Amino acid sequence: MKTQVVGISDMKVSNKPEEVLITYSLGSCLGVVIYDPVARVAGLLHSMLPLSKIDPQKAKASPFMFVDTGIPLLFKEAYNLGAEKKNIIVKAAGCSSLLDEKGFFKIGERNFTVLRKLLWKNNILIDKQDIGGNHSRTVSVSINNGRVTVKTGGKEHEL
Amino acid sequence: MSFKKEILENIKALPTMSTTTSKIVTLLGSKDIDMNKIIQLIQFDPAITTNVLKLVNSSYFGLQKQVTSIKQAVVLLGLNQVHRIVIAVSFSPLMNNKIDGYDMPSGALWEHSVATAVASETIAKMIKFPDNDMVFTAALLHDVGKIALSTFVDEYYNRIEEDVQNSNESFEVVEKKILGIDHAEAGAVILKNWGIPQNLFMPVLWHHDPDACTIDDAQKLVDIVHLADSLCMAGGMGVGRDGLQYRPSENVVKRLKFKAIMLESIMSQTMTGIENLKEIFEI
Repeated sequence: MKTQVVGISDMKVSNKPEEVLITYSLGSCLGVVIYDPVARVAGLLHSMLPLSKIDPQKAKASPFMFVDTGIPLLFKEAYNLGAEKKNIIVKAAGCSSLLDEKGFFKIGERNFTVLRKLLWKNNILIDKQDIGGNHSRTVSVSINNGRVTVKTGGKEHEL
Repeated sequence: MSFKKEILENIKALPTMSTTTSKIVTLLGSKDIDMNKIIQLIQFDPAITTNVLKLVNSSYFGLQKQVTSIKQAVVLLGLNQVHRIVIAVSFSPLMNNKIDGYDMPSGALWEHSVATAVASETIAKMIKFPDNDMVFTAALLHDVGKIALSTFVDEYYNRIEEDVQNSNESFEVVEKKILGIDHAEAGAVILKNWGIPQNLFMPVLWHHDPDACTIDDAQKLVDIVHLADSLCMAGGMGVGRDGLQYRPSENVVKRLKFKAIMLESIMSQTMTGIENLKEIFEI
């Protein structure tokens, strides 16, 4: 089994059955896994901020930093490897927050809102999600069977 | 039951900072920086000189000719850059270690510290805060107390975790409740023992409770480090199992007159800053 690490503001796609895509330390960042079980293609995106308009230049150099520029590229790259929209399963994790009752640091919540809007516009539903809370998450997907696991505070569960 | 006494004993056993580093940090924290004095100090410490020159001559800086003296390095790179290199060389060995209590693999605490330092500099620039060198060092050292608390957090983690879940209190509040001291206070004690001046350890002491800061002169620096730390934790930069279980201060945001959209901009600029520093800081 070969592990490919997806960093912060990064994305990877793969169709190699022996590979696992993994991303660490999702705090308020959003992790999105897409998987086509027919083509056996998976993609994993780790975006930090909701909208690219705050820094368009940065978005050009590093499109995966933002949800609105990262999501279209995630799908595009998966299509390039043979995935088809009709088969794609979407899972989302992350978007936690500090103990911020006044909601000033609600970057996580905004990340998730932008994802939902984008998917809704494109008639795509989220199959499973593990969103919110105050923990950091590690997310991985196996290309072979599309199994997605989320690890939080030493405990792992399947999504 | 409090473990404060044992933790303070632990702190005494931590490696001490070299006299050179302590003097450089103190000099850089003063209002009028005497460049010649700093160059002299570095030159008298062969270990720091060797490591600084090694980094200065690395491909990262892409300098045309071989740099053979600290003076030459300061002329070519500027004092600010050399200062960062000296700080990195001095503190990374201690802060690169694995921190078991917080479930941080080796490199994670260092990554979080560098990210917070870069975010603090970004905020300082935005609000035109003048003491940039101080901002970088204070932010870099803000979580150093986690090193001293690690074994105790590890041993009593179940109790801490249970209390955090039930009380919904900030992690450092529960640390203090169960261990008798939190990582912020422990960090300030470490820096005090190292002979680091008060204006640098105040932000470490109050980084989770900036509204309790009792020294007006230190308030702005405390606020900057608090905000930077909160953003870097939220962004998942070098986060342990204490996760995002910290309560940010609403008053800091008000005092600094920040809007939500500016916070996102700081995060984006911090990522760029980290990319630029990656090679020097080995993160």
